[in-house]
Amino acid sequence: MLGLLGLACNYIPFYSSLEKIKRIPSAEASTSICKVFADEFMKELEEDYDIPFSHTVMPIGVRNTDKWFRGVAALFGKEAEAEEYIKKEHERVLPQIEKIKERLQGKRVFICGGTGRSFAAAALIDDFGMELVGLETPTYDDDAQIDIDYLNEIHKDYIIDIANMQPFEQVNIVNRLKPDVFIGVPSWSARLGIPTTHVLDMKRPTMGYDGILYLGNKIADQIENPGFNKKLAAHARLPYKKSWYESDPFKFIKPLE
Amino acid sequence: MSVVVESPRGTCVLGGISAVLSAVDKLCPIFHSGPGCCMQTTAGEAGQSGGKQPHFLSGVSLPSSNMLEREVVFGGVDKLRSTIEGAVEIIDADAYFVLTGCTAGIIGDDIKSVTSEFAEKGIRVYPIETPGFAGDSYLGYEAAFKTFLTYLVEEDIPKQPNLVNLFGVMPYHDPFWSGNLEELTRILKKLGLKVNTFFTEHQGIEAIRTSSAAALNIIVNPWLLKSAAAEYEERFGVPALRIPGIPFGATDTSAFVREVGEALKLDRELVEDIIAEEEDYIYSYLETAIGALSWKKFAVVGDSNTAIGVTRYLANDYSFTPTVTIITDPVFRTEDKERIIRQLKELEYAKPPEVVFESDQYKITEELKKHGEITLLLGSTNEREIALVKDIQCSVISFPVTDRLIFNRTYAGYRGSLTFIEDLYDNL
Repeated sequence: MLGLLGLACNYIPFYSSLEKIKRIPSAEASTSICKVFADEFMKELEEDYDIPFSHTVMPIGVRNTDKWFRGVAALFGKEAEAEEYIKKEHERVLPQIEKIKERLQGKRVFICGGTGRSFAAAALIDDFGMELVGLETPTYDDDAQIDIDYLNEIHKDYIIDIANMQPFEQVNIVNRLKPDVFIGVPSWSARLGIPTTHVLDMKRPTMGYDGILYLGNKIADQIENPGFNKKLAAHARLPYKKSWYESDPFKFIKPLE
Repeated sequence: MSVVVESPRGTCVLGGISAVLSAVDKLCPIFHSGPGCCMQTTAGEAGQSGGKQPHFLSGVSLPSSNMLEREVVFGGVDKLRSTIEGAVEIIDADAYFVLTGCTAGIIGDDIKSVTSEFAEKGIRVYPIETPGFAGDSYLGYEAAFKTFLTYLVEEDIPKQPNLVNLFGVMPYHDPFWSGNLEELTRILKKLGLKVNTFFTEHQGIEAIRTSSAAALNIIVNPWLLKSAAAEYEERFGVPALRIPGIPFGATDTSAFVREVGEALKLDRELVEDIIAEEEDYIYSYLETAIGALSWKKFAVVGDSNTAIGVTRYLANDYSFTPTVTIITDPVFRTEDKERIIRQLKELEYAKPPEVVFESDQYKITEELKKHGEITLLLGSTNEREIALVKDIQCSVISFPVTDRLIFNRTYAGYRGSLTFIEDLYDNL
């Protein structure tokens, strides 16, 4: 996508050679696709090398992909080119999203993920007309509040648990909410019999305009064919006492002294 | 002078203990450590061991006291107490064990005083005071069994003459642990024995408690569990039979069966009948694919248990030519090194391989580079790289295994040896 704006991209740090890393200060601008790992680094590049950066948005889902792309384009004054591309992609992708929406409209979702992906996933499910019933994400700060405010405009009633998965809390909450699908690391919720899928996928694109189609189909397929998790739940051995499922999931959270 | 090891194979004591506890049904490890240990030790053991994650508690679902600055300065026993209370309240375990992380070990928290509070109320909470920095995963394996001996194994219970304890295969550190134990158990059951593996068949705290009733401790390993074996003998009169390496294939497995039969004074005819039946089973298959694999000059890199099994099987039973066998375990006793070398050098026909003890990945690679004649490399996922460089066949058979999913697959015993040959063919 950056190539479409005539930009060459130095993708770091995975598999980067020393030469690649040495080239970092010669860049005209920075952007990133993951807050947690990039924001601080980009800030330092700005302070030490005068390299401007665009605000991080994980480009999952149409809205976020538009935002991310516009952000990068603005750094180079290529807003017009970006808008043209976005318009074309919308024409291509939105009708396909409508088709997937027919399969997913109204489905209730629980999302568990890192700060970048979880909020991105939450925005994405809105594209498919799904309803967010719960969100579990590990960190909370001013930045996260911006995302939460945004979500609050779309979804009226959902639980937020600030937790690094905390399986015992997750299992309790998911068991109460009984969502139609769970998005995140499936190890525990799958064993409750809930259809699960993941926004992380090592082999296929989940970002950009094609990514959303892939994700939507993945979620819809899992909901329509839930055999594995259902059968697994009949045999699975989760470690929690029955009494835990009846307890308040947040009873162990105490105020800081 | 300290030594730096590149890509050490395993983790710390916590990793080893956690691996053992995770494999026993319904035991709950509680980490008294910094916040990263649960995830990292799980990732370092189970995560590199063929894909199986402990179903009960692992990684982020392990209870942990998450020691931070405040605990380092003021001590962590209060936090530990509340963590144990929480774990006992929500986790349906038969026993809870507190593991001591590096931080806790350094500041000297008195774990035992906290766990005693619970034990006094009849709640099974036990301390494992070996801190993380004391050693590697293998020390964890040993520490876990010493803890079981101290707190769980029962005294004065009636002996069961057909019960054996099967030790030596370390869960989540031997990627094929499940299948290996299952195959060896299958064979022992045919001899009319009852087998405590502790880690298969959903065995749990009962198996540990009644392990003192066994007639024999079979330790399938050339160097581990010397201390625990001695304690079993001293306190409960359970003798130990050490099988120095996992038996792969007909020759070594039949020798294994005969040794067990001797040690337990089993009926000779029964033993020989079973051996004949099992050998016939494998050879009926081997007979159908003669020459499917052409002759190889092979090198082996791995833990002593697996490396011995693989080297001896391919050399003695399959007529492949050994070149070098590299043992990656940090074996430190001379007598253990000698035992391992003996197993690798005493082959039936083949010229024995060079034997090297090395844990450092760079040095392992350098050693392999020295041998230009290798055409088959059997090692861990780490060895795939040098195999690609040398353009030779590579089969992944030892820890760490990150590119295979292993449920109950095994290369051990009788049946496993057939799977082994099948997989070698698949990797051509």
